[in-house]
Amino acid sequence: MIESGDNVNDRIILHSDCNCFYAAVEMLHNPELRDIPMAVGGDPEARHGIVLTANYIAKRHGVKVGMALWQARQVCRNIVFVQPHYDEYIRFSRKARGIYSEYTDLVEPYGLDESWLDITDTAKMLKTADGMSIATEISDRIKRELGITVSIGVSWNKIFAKFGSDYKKPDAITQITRDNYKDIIWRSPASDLLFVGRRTDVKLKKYGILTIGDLAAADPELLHDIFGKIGYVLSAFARGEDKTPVAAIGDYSEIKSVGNSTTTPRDLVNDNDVRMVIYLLSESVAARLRENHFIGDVIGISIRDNGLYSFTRQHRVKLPTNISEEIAGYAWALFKANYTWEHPIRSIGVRVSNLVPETTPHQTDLFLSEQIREKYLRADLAVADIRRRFGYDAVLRGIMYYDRILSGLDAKADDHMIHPVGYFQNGNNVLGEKER
Amino acid sequence: MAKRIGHKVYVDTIVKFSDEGKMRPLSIEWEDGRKYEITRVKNCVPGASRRAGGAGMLYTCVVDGKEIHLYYEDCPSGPKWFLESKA
Repeated sequence: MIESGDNVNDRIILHSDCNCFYAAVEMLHNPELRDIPMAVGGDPEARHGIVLTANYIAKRHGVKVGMALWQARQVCRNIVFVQPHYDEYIRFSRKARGIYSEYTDLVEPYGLDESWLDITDTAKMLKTADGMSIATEISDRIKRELGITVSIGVSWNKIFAKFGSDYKKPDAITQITRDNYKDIIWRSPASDLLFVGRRTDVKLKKYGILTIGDLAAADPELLHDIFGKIGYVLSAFARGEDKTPVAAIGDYSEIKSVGNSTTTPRDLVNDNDVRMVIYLLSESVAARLRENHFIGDVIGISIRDNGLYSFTRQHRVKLPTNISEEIAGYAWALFKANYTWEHPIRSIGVRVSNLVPETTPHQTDLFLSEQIREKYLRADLAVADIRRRFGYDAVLRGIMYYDRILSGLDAKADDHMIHPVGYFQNGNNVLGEKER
Repeated sequence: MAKRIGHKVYVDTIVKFSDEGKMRPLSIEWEDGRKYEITRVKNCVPGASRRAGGAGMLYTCVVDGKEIHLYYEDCPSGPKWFLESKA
């Protein structure tokens, strides 16, 4: 059914978001948690970790995702913390995607708990031929078959569909049409738009851009001057001109490896150059492994020299890891064992594969100190936290000062990237960095 | 032996696997040790039990002329069968 004012060529995009996903799965399995404030988070016994998801009761008390557990306890005294069970979340995520895939083959996951669905063509073939009725059917099925709830946004582009799923929660469906988007979306704060992070928002405010409507009305050239390329993108997103397709099932296959590669601003001519770039890439790979709760025990490198000769080498290590120091160490050893410096190097990649969830038990090595490993891991976490708060350049390894142009490069993710979030946010941050 | 967690009762279940890989529960053993034959499987659909707390395949079965809901839960710790307890 085409809504009045809709363009006949408009797509029908749904964005489905499982409400408080981790908490919902825990509450399904443990009914006692349903009527009390609870949060899924790191290890409460060890008195560290952060809130990954909180239920609505806890949220009403002021508990927010990303809070340290002790902070959550301060705002909500009787909160109950539950350790995460990622394998269960993955199982439920697969089930949800299984339901989506019965409606269309264009299902693009956005993390474990969110997906976009393009039902433009399939809607015509189904008995229920409009977005809202399919959204209602999906919502009902998720409730009946999985015992959790979703919020769904229905619109003609991915950005507005995502906005719709965030607009009303939990267990709600919001349709954003060409008739109502100016009332609903344009009046909302700019920070509600996907990819407008805290930093971008602060900058927008400086220019008097407070709402998404302001953003839509702003001169795209001005936004380009402020943010670089992303300025045009934000401008188009705000006006509902996002034409990004919803990827087909399989385009985002299950994560098999996490890797980053880069073509360097200048050719690498000696060991120091290579070590620096390997560290840079390893830090990024390790961070992404941790974000996605994986460890892996196959470390690989890819090298391309300035004669465009390329090769890859990989090595299985004793202990699966997500520690940047270890990944860099193994990658460096691989490089030293396999490259004889016949030509300068143009491009390098570092990859970790054979992934397992980070909670998988493993046999420790008698000759490798777990204490030292833990120190390295804690250092990584501390660095990640500093960078989250103060920007990437706030803390750097000493080796990066050997050549700041080389170490300041934008280590782009290669095609093993898990989902576009990190890439986009990274791009956003990098642009922000250049501004300062 | 059956094991109860709240309203969720995990039960020992005898299952027949067809040569096509289909599963059909034949009998279950309740908490008191009594065995019940499943005379008919009326339906098998994905389903969640909010009361018991679990999700998987919901088998609507007939036992002693009464309809029961038997769930097959493919949880990461290994697949299990459970029933909702009314008590």
